[in-house]
Amino acid sequence: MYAVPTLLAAIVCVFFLMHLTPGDPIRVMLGVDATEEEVDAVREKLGLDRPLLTQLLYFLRNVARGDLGESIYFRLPVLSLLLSRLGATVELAGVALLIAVVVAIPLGVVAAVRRYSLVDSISSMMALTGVSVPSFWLGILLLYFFAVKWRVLPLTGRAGPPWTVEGLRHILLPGMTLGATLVASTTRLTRASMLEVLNQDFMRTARAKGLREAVVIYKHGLKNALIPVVTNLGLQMGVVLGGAFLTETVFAWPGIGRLTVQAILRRDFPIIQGTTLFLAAGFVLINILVDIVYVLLDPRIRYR
Amino acid sequence: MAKESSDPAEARPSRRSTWRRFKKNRGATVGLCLIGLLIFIALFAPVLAPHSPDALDLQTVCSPPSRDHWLGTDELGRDVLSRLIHGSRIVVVVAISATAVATAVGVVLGLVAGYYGGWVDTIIMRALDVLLAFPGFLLAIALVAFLGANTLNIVVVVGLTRIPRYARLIRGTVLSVREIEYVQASKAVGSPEIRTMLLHVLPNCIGPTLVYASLTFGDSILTISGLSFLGIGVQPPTADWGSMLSRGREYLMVAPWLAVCPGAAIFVTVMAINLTGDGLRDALDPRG
Repeated sequence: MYAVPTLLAAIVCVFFLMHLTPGDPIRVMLGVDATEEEVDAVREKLGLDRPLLTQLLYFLRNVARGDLGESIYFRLPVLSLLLSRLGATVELAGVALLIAVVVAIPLGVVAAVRRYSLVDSISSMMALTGVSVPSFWLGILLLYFFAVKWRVLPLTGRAGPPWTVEGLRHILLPGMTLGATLVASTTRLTRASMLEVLNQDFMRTARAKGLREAVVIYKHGLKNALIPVVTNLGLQMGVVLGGAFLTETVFAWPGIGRLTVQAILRRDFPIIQGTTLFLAAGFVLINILVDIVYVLLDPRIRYR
Repeated sequence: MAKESSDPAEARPSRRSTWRRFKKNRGATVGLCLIGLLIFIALFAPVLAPHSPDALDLQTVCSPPSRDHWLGTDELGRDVLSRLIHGSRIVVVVAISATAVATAVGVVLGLVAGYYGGWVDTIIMRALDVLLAFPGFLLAIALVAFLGANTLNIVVVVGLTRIPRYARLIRGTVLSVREIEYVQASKAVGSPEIRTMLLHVLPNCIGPTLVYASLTFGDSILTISGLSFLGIGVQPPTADWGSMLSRGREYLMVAPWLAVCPGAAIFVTVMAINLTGDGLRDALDPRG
């Protein structure tokens, strides 16, 4: 379990982010017309007038307390800003994940069972397209056709939880956009993993027992083929979190990604620092969860 | 016999047979031709572009594709095709540089970690794990936001985010090669370590490196255009596909070609690279 030291090191890296800015970060943040007093006030508030080591210790203490600093633009604590936008991002990532699971796993299974068939060709075309298409372009195309040209779905924004009709209509396009890459990699991996399992001895045994083909494939085959697929879904959550920055920008989705992109354009450094820390922690947590699911799926794996 | 064929060095195909297998793959051949075409366009952009990429013509603002402007004009009357052609230079240069950075550093780190093992390995791999704790695109955004958006920073940052997986891949290959007889023999006769590493271990990493470099190249293009799209990439007025797309989005209702064309250019380029990479992987590893 390297998660804890890795996370600690990541926090220290995030601390040094602020010190990467060439010149005076406070000047950059406040713009050219800030007075000397304003600059000094912010510098003191952020603790940037103290020695580096003291700053680092303060930073670690604050992070441990859940204090990620204060946004310069909103004048609100960064953590509460992030938490208020977290729901929208998790919702979007969840829909993307759901789309990936519902589309990619069945498609990958059929592509493997009917190898070299039409479905197999279509699935590899889709996979290739999914990894090659810039998500922001895909989003804009979907927006153009569904919202501008055919006017069947709303343009942008969020309208409540996805289980309401309006909420669902709003999340459909961004969800599909964010899910596209995930569908691609999951289909590819499910197919490859299934192909490997199909040749195993236990599959022949299951058939020899006279089980129905569907039972053989789904119960004996898919269950074993899912292990790498689940791991990959976990690892891909990093890609999804990164993709959220682009998707949320295209669809004006009020999540963490959009908050951060706006913060970058406003040079609101505490928010950027906070997001980086927050998402790195989230990503490490997801990886731990993947390890746990791994054990649940495969009883052969035991951690010492 | 069976034992010998599972030996990675024994299974390493000759260069000629790899090329023959690669040529048979239609997708990969098309991909490689498209990459060649892209590099050609980038090299000869000033000759190929029908108009100057920065020439304003306020008479023909946002005009749809026509005989004079094949892909239409943008909100300042600039020729979209010419801007796309010139934009290919930025993409090619920045993405190739980022891939070179990632390849150079990743291969060296992976080689050293895998060859020496022990605490050297532990330090290198744990340090890279810290980088892996950040989702790649997030790390790129954060670094560029703090370092400032200029071409050099973008090259370094995009390259940096690709290093960890590179090093892991090369380390894995080195670990499997390290114990092969000829490497052991080279050590036993007292060759300098660096000679053993470069002459006997490194050649075995060429295949995985090539395949991963192509993946990195495609990915870098997506990352670079993504950064430009968010407004923290290559800075305007330089013609760049990502920022063209970003500005085009604002005119989606009146001039959809402004967003469609640059996106299509990115898509076709990345697809060509991925096709080539897939073909390369299949050709280098005929068993897979």
